[in-house]
Amino acid sequence: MNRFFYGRLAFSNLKKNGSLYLPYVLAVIGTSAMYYILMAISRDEGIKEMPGSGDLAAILGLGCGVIGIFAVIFLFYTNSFLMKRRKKEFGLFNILGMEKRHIAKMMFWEIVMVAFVSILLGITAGVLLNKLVTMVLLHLVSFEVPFGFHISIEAIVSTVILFLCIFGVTLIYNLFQVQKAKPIELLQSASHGEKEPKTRWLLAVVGILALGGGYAIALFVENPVDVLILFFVAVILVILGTYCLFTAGSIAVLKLMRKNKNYYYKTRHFTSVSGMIYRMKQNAVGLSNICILSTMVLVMVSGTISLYMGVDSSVNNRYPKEINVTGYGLTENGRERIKGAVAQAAADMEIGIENISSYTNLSFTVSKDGENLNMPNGIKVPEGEMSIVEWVTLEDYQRMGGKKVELREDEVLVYTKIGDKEDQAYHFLDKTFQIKEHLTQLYLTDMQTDVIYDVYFVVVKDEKVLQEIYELEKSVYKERASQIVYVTALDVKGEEEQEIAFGKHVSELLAAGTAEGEIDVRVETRAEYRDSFMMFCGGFLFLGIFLGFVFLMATTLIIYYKQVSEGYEDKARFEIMQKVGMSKKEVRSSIRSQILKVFFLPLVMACIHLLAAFPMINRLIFLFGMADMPLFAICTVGTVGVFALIYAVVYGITARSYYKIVG
Amino acid sequence: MAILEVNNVKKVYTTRFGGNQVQALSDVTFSVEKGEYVAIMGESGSGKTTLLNILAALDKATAGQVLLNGKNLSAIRERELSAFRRQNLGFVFQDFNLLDTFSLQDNIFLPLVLAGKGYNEMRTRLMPIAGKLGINEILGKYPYEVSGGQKQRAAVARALITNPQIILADEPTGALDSKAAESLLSMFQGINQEGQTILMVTHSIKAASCAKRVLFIKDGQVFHQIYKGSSSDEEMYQKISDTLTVITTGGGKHE
Repeated sequence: MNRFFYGRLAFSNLKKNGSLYLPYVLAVIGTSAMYYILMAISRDEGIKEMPGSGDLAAILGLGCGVIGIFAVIFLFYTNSFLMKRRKKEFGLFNILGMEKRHIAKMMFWEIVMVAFVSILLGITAGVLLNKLVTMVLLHLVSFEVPFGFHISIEAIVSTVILFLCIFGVTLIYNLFQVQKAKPIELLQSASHGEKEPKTRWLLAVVGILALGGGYAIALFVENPVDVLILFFVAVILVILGTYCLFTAGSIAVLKLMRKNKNYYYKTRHFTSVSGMIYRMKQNAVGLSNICILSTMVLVMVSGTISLYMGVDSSVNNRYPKEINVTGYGLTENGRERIKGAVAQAAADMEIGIENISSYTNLSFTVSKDGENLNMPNGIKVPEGEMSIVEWVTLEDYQRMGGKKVELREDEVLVYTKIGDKEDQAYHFLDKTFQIKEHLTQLYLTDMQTDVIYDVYFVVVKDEKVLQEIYELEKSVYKERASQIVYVTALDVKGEEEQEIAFGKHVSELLAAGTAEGEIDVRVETRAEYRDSFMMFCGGFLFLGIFLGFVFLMATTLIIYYKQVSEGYEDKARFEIMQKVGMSKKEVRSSIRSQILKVFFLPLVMACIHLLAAFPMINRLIFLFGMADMPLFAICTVGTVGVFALIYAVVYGITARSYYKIVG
Repeated sequence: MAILEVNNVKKVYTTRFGGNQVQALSDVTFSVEKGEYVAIMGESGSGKTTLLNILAALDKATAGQVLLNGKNLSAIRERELSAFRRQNLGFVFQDFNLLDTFSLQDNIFLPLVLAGKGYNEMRTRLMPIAGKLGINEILGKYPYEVSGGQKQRAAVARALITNPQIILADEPTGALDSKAAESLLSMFQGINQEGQTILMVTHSIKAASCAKRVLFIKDGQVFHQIYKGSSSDEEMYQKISDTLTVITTGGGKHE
């Protein structure tokens, strides 16, 4: 036999099944291109040189992993659609006298061709788009570096290996499928209907419980740290709940629709409802997949957009003033040097400074159990809630505008935003502080008040008491103990560049050794922090949108395949209905009703998920310092709007190809 | 009065590639009176199915006209066609054409649902028909759960429920075992006695012998017809059988 026979046969098979293979090939091209791009960017030498690129590289690396795993699952899933449609063809070959090993040879060539073409095109597209995507990324992280056009061999190799593996596994799976089937089964497999499914109450209950649990976590877990831990639990519960509910719930709902005689016996609903009941089991999985993917897109994109949009408010929250000089364990001399350095820098650079303020502060974590402030030491974590205590002096408090009060050595004033406000005293190791008053306002505006844990600001009599507390802390925390810090914060009159230059200059002045030796001091500027935070948020936004695209593509493709494969099954049904007296117009409208239901059920469900997840994501992005709920709400609504629009376009295209098949 | 008139109907198919023309019907003329039970017989390829499709308004004649109650089928506009067929014609097919997605009852309701009838009316119409056809017990079942004979009875119920002018049956016994076929045929006779006009296309002499009149089609023309008159089914069977022998052997020997 001709050496090229199987190759030619494979080629003509692919051509014949063009409408099935084209989207599949496009999907491979898309995923491989995206994988290549992420891979190439995360390995890019130019990006490595950017400040704060460590976070960015880590984020992009994470993205590579997600896309890789996703590609495996997704392409495998799409392949199963193809196989289902083509089994009849293989059965026919088998019956016409082709042995299974011949079919295997043919399938081998098919996959080789698909793999070759799609990986080649995917990498080509990746290489071409790489530059564009890099530019988008750099724009997002507000960084300008001119990059040359270059090709990452490393990324190409890893893309080729990954996708060859996926195709290899796919081929093995397909061969196994054909191998174990009898020819007559192959012939019939596409036309197998399902028996009408029973309403499964147990599954429905499990679904409701899982979904309820997930929602409850999202709605009622307040502590952001717990949110971080429980987030994935909630995600898994919601996914589980979605699958169960779609499987059991959809059948129940459809049966209810059927029970409602006035609704059911209408031309539009009659065929669509019965058609959906008929293949609800396979529908349910498809619909849940669509729903979950949509939810992921929405959560990712809205979360990262909000984070990105909220960069400024987060930065201002973290650093209320532009320049922050922190000295550790300073003597009076050290403090004077800081004051001097700031004044000298201003004089040297001829820059005006304003809003200068300084305070002394000791801050450490305790686990607060009622009025006891316990110190977690080593492995054993004492009872109570993790909280941060910020100790400040009465002098600083009053200098900042606090009211005049006298304090004894064992008396304190307390301010807390979200912690307990009823305590009478604090017991700290062998010391007891009587709380003289709970303050309603803290004048120390330079101190960060919005943080993850409950924070207690405790005003003590003077620095002597502060020192005592420090000694106590050191006795437990040893070398991990935090030091008393002296913070000077100020704004400079000038642009960002001057702000950074000023910070540098202060830092230089302080670093120069003097007779008293070196002092431990750190200078931070808001501008620099902003840049590195921007890098972080921009990287996240980039990844969010990037993965959003990938998932959107997957959603589209799943919907497309679902409708197309159902179209072939429905063709016969609609032919019968036309024979019995259904007009073309009625066929169209009943198809529309069916596709509408299939399309918008998952979208509605995804929106409900998003609504429930909203408080949780809000707390999560709060962890990154973004505390602007209205902004987040706007971003979320915007994302949903854009998504729905894209979804509607996909609907239009799918409905058209469905009509083509059926009509 | 003739309920159905077929005048000089001609049908020519053009093959998909190139201009090869195939003449399926050359010149068919006959009429069916109200309350008649007519069977049309002919060999494979004689044009039976083409004729039925034209009568069912599923296909258009190349020349000639078909009048149902005096109304010309080819003059009905495309968008009224479905409604017209639904209201005036009932169909019974060889392979039942029941939808797997519906229970038998819903299958029977389908034409009424399409006509926008309410559930109660549909139910009222169904009851006597279901009783007559003996499918009361299985109305809730699905097509894949019942036997071929039961499926065909459901299909007959679907054809009857719209009170059609005429029932068009295409090889209704073709997919049934002999027992089920016999019971279906006697059902047809019963329905016909109540005044329902039936036109059946068939291969089977047995089926045709139940009809009141049999038309024979050969090479796209009505070749011959025989009336049952007062003869029994058995005598009719013999007559048809003889006629078919004449037709298949070309008629030369007997002339």
